[in-house]
Amino acid sequence: MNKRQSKHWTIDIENIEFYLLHSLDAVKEQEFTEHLHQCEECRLRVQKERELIAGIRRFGQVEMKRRLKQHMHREQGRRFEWTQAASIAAAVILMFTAVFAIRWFTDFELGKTRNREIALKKSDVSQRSFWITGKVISQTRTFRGTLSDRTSSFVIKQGNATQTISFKYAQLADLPPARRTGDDSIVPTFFDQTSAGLQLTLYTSTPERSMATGIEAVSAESFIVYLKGQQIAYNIPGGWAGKM
Amino acid sequence: MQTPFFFLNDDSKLLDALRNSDEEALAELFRQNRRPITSLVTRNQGSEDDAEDVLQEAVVVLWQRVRSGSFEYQSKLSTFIYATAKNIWFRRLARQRRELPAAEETLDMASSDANPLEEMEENERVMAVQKAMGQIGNPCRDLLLFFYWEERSMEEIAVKLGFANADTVKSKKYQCKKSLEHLVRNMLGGSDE
Repeated sequence: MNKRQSKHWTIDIENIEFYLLHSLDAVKEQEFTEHLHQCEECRLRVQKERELIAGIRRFGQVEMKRRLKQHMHREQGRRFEWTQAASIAAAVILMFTAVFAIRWFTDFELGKTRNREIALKKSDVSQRSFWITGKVISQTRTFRGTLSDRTSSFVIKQGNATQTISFKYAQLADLPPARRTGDDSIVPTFFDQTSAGLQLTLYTSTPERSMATGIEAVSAESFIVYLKGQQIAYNIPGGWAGKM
Repeated sequence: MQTPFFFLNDDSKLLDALRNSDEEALAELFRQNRRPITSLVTRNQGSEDDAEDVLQEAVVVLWQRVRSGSFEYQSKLSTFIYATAKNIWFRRLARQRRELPAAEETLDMASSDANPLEEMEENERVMAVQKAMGQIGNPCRDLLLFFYWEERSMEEIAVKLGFANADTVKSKKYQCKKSLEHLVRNMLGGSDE
């Protein structure tokens, strides 16, 4: 046994730990291994330390699995509650939709207006379609959004998710009476989620001259539509990102 | 408003989150891989509960590899998890066929050159440590887990547990290990030195 090998490395518990956690440099690790071949007492100490670390790690592994299991079960529970809440919300929406439809057709029958077909056809009144209100804003922003292609539709990317948004334009006179405000700075808009993507129908006094040139998501809850000579800001309660 | 997590679902962001010990990343990996692993296990004589258990284990293996720096990004995380889960499940099946007692998966710390009797004794002692960890109080439990399981640095642990500095953590760790050894000796019926 040479002088280096006879040195009791294992008297210092840190050396054992470094050895087991592979933190010694290659030369020292080799020397340590050689020393273990010569020293029965040292081998026992290393074995004891090895078992201690293995036990701690096994406890850590089991604990982490337990926490993960709890997390997933809590999530499943929340999803169940959410499903129940969604069912109730759907029932409420259906009820309001029915009231809205009855009022609408009553108006139609009375001949108050005969130009609402666009909105009616678009709405297909369901959870996936709703009215939002745009507000004309001053044109001081620098555009950082997505530009339209020739068909006036946009493809917005957010992470791995993409969303196609297209626009239609309708006369203010086509609006249901309840949606008319008389305020020129307000742009009532019908937001419809179809299988082809989102479709926004903007009600303006000059639909024939309207053309969306860009769209910009400003925050998780708001976005701006850029028209020629006009910018319209929208806010979607509950989140734009979530709707996408 | 915080960006919803589902937008952060690519591998690099998940790996970053795992490196930072973000357990939400584990849950996300679990969600993403649930269907293929359930299919794998149920097609091979397992139940949905088995699949859940195997997937949890595979995700934890990935976490451990990432934390210890031994994970190499050579394939998609889903591929790694699938291969790991498959390996775990088929090993379990093989063990069941040989009617061996159900033991935890072999940990990389266990010695490999032991004979079956020594292996059983070693396993018994490792299980005693595991049990003792359930009995030791805090901050010892957290400290030992942070150091040996999560492989955090002394500095990180000092911040996490509110110790003055790394030296304080070092001396506390020594005391905690002594307490743990004491508990293990009591469990195994030995006497204190």
